[in-house]
Amino acid sequence: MPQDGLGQPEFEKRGVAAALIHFMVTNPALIIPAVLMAAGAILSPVFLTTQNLLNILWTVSVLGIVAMGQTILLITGNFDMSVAYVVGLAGITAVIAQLYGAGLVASIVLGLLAGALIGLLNGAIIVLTKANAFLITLGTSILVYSINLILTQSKTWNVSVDSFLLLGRGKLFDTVYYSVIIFLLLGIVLQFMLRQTTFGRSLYIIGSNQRAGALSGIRIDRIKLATYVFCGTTAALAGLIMTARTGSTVANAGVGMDFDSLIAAVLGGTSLFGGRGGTLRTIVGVLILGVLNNLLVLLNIPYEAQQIAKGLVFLAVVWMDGLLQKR
Amino acid sequence: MQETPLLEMRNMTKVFPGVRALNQVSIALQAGEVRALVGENGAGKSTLIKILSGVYQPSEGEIFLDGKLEAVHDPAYALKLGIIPVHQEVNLEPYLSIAENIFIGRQPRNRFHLIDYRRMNEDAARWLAELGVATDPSVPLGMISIAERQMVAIARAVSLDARVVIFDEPTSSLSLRETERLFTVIRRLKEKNIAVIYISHRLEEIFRVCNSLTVMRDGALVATKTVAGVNTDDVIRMMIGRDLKDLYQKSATPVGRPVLEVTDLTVEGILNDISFTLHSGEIVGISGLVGAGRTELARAIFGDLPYQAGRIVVDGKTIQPQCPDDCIRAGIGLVPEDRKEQGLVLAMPVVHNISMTILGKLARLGIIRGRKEAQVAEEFVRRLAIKTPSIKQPVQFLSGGNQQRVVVAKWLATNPKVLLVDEPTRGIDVGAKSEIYALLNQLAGQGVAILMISSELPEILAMSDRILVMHQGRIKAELVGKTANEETIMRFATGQAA
Repeated sequence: MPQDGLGQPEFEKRGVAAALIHFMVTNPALIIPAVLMAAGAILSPVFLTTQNLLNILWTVSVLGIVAMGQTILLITGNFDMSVAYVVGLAGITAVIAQLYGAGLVASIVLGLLAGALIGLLNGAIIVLTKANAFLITLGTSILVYSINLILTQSKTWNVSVDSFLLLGRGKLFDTVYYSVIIFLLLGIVLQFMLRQTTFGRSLYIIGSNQRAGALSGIRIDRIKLATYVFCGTTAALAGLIMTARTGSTVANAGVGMDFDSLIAAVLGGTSLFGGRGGTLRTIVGVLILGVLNNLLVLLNIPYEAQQIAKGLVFLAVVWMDGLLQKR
Repeated sequence: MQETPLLEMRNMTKVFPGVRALNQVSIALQAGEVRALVGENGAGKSTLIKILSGVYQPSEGEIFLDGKLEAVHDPAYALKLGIIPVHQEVNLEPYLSIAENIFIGRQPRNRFHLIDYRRMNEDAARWLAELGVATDPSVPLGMISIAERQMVAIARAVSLDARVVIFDEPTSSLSLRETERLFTVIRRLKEKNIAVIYISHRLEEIFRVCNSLTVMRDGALVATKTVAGVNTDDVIRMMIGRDLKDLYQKSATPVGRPVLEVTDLTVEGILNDISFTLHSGEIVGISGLVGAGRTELARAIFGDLPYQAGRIVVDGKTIQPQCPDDCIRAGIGLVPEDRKEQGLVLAMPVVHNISMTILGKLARLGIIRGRKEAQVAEEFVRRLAIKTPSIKQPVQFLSGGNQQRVVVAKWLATNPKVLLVDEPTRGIDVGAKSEIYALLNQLAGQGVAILMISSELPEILAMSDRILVMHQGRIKAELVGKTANEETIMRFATGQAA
């Protein structure tokens, strides 16, 4: 006998309460910030001030932009572990270009191009060898780090075009930082792309069932290549902003952003297994990280403990992601 | 003299969602009996074996070993009980030596608890000798032939105190001489009072090495007979049966112009000089056994398998597909063999699955027009009578038959000239099957050229205008009208006829 609507998810039969619980469980990202904010308000008098909250937003913007590119990749089931050093490379390229006389626009373009090229390299290797993305990009990250070391000769380099600093330090109408606007805007535009465009849809298909996608005519290799180039470029953008903020650059700028961007994306609800997630969620994830960090600092918790906290959060999130995947 | 059978499976039943793969099958084997298990693809043979070897759990039924009820709850336990499957692709370690493979997990130790290689090699040589095989056991497994690897697997089975050894199509990669050696070894197993289950399509082999045979069809037991009491024709008749109810209605469609011309298509090692023509309105069936290259043919035409020689012409235009997208643009669609792994994105809703092939057409400047997408999906749900609460329902919750309809819908959305369907009714119950047939007929009536790969003989006989029978990568016969019957297909498919 044909059985229709086999195995209906239970909550559709049990009503609103169960649906709410289901929603909270599958979108843990939305409860955690609420809980953290509440904890913050209780534990520290400074936490809920406008100054502090805006500060958090400002702090997370750079990582947030990197996490955007990473999110796009994660949806397709891939990773880019070279973003950390690409962040550095972009800044270095821009600064050195400026020393050779490049102006604002030229140095920015060159910086972005550097990131795009590394992305192209990553994408090409992964598409051609079909090897593990995580491992390949770890390999290229070492390559990029070496390039950074060679270019900077292990010295610190300063920005020499003043207008460039506006990118990191400037505010629109003297209220909101450009970098925060770029971060949030990127998140919103990308979310639209993910949900409403054919390219975005293809990403989810590749992440969920690449084989079915290929057999349906989706051009897997081209799309994967494009996502890697994009990720490299966003990492570069983040790197330019970071350099513009500090006014200088070093070889290992951006270190740690590879895992941090993954943590942020997964915290927000993007799955490491591919096929699920979005950039709006990543904004939330990045904010969670920011709030967590902020709390730990406000409470004067030593650096080592902060790292432990971050590690635990990461493990918890990966574990939950794994559980959700099994449903 | 009625002894307790060594192995008895009683009332074995296995139900998967939407399909009853096994229905009250009972078999009993004596020690030293070599029993052939025959039936068409999908008859239930491998399901029965998987239950016996612990891979599946039966929905109903019991297994008795030496009269004692045993619950075979996983493959490791099956091995402990002495139920040893010898797989077609011998899954042993190619980098370890023969002896190491035989003794995986239980290497003999010396007094320092280190592996005693000398004793291991000696023991391995002894087991091999019992089977009449004289290969140096210290040689890495990867360096010996497939036939010899099979011998190693059997030696391992015997050394594990096998009570029941299961062979699944053991001779498909063997030469005549190696097959002879296998038979000798099987006779040795008989002498050791081991019961052997021998699954094969090759009837002449069965008559040579087996004592008895069990015929299955559509998940049920047809009969168990001694080999002495039957002949080839009897067996084939039992395998096929006379269940050709008016399940299949082939409407006579006027056949039109050639839409797909394949010439000398060759994929090294898999397909050899395949040539045929498909006309508009035609349903051409591709028959053959597992391994004949049918799915590979479809994949090659669809741009999913690179080919080294040959030409593909669609509606007069030669195409050189690098990927499925090229073929889709040329007007070819492929309903794949495995709808869950290859045809659908299970987590996504019906509407997204249907639109997957035409995203470009549904979008303006890259942005998907959601309402148009929904309209198209609704229309197909109606046209193909897809039973789903809404187009937003994730397809994983649909029944097999309805999932298949979603896959077909996705291809109809591309308005194909040629539709390749691979096992269109696999895993679908009888009622839904006839609806899929009606659908295919309708499509042919509208001028679509259909290439249908199927392992179900009644299906392919009833639905096809012509049948191409494949064997080992070649088309061995084209059958039309009266020449198209079960026996003839089987003869060409098993390589018996020229």
